[in-house]
Amino acid sequence: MNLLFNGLSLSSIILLASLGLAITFGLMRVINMAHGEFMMIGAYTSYVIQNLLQTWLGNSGADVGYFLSIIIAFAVTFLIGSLLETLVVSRLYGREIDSLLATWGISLILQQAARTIFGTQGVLVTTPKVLSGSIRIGKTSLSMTRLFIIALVACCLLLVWFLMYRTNFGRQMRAVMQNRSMAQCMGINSRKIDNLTFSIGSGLAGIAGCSIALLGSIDSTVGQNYIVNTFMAVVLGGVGKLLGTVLGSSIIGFSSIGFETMTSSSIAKAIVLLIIIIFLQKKPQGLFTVRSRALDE
Amino acid sequence: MKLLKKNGYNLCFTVIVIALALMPLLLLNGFVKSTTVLFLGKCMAFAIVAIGLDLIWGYTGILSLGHGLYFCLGAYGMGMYLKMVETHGKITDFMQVGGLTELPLIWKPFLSLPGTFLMIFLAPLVVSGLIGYFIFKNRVKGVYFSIISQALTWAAYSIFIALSPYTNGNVGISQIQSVLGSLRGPKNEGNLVTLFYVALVVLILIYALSYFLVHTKFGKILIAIRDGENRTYFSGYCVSNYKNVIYMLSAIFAAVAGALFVNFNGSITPTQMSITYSITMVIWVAIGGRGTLIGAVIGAFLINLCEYNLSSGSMAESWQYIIGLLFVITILFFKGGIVGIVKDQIPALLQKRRSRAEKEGRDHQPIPVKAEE
Repeated sequence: MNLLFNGLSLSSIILLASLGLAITFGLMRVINMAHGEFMMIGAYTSYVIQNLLQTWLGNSGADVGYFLSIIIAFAVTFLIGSLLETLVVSRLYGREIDSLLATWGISLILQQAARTIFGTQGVLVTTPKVLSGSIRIGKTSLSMTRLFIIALVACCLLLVWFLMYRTNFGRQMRAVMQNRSMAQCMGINSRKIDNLTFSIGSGLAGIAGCSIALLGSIDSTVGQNYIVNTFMAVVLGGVGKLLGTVLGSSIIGFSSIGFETMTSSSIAKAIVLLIIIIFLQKKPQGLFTVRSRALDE
Repeated sequence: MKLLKKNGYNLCFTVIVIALALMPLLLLNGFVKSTTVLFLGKCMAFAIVAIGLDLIWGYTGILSLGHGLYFCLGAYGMGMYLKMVETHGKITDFMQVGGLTELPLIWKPFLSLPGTFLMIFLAPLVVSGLIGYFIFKNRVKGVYFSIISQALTWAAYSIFIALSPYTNGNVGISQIQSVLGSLRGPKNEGNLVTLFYVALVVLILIYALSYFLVHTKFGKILIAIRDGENRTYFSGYCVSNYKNVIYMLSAIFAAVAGALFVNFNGSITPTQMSITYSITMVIWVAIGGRGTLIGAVIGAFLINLCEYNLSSGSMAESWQYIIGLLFVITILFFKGGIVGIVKDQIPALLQKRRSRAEKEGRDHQPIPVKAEE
């Protein structure tokens, strides 16, 4: 039971981090290596907002500040993502490897910016009072922060699903990603859709950043720890499928926790990655594939 | 001019080699500091990795984000040999701390120098051969390969840290002398100079081998794979085998470079294996110019020299900004890197200007044809 909860918790964190990636990588074919740094920006945003409100309103401000910061972090990373798309990424559509490298350059700049502004020392976000306790069910105690993160992930997932499959914007987005020129002929402004899609992906990274701020101290390399797992989750699930990403990240999350009971955590990480890589040899396209007859898919 | 165009790359490499060969002489006369020479030695190791990366990325179109792994395989092998020279073949202190009483079997071949050399070739060969065989056979390509190589390196990185009784975890192998003995201090300048020339010879050999390779039919097929993988398949070539061979070769280059590096550096840590460091290697190649061997060499030397001079002192903070920005701009606008700018973009610009000038000149002249009519 305890194991199950830990697995669920880790999976949800990976899922939240890879949700944005599933959109930018899966739909737009842009390998955003700066995704981890967007998470870092989100985490720092909640730190800043919390401190601001704490000085104005005292301790209760800090609690409100955290919840408020989730929305603000989304907005901030949304805007930065939009800017990045206009300046850099828009020139790199169709050049996947180059998009990977260019965004890596961006991530170097963002990391250094974080070091310049906040210093190399890690900072802490205080957990709001509502989330500090834990609920006991039977023998296991479920910590509130982790439950909150699971709920947050469920909300985000639902919102993304709704946005992608139930709104006009989502329909346009999928149309552009499937066949750009045809969509343009139908009168869809594909540049605008590209920009919005990338920004939403970045914004989701910001929300993920807020959630990892609850788990530990924040420094300039906090995003780096997630980048490998999130990419593997997206690739394992099958690029371009939301359900695949959900499944991929839960496989990584549960199996990491499972192996951790047997060996140390870093060995467990390595084993999980190796197993996934071996699995990808069997199915290079991932678990869920978009069937296509094209040669270079 | 024609000669320059035809042999420009080799000429450029010769200039670099001569400049490097002069360095020890300057050292003995007291013009340069021994730390600079030591650093240039490391740069040569970096240039060798860069050549290896260029062979698979620039020529074959496989972007590996995990060459730090092979670099470290070579470096750890060499470092372990040097460490055990100091302990006279007995187990090292970190193994004792880790609870080992006997030398682990994996480090046994590194007791002798020939064994170490053999393992520096064999270990990356086997690892990269296995990885390459499965990945290329299943036609994993493009970014998927990059992501998988990145994940593999990360897995290896965490294993190296976790197995601290064998590898000394985060600290790595430190405080070791080179093969020839200590390099520090004015007394040991002779050692430094000898080692420097050894590294230079290795660099020249590897450059020559790569140069030979890319000009054979094999090299042409690599370029064909880069530009049209499926067409190469359909032409009857077994692309996966070609990819695998070049991948193994570049892994060996990286390991050789690692072995040289540890001699100059005197320590090796898992940091050199991390993804960040692996991508830094890619940055050298990208900025120098992918797809040309000389570009890789220039990139490795230039970036490292800049970093060496800038990252200490007041510029330390801005260095990250500079390198990040430089990298982004290179990727966005200058696909050929520095070599591309010199070779293609400047001549194209000059050509444009010349033709425009000619056109303007023509416009100013009276048009005689009309008058005759």
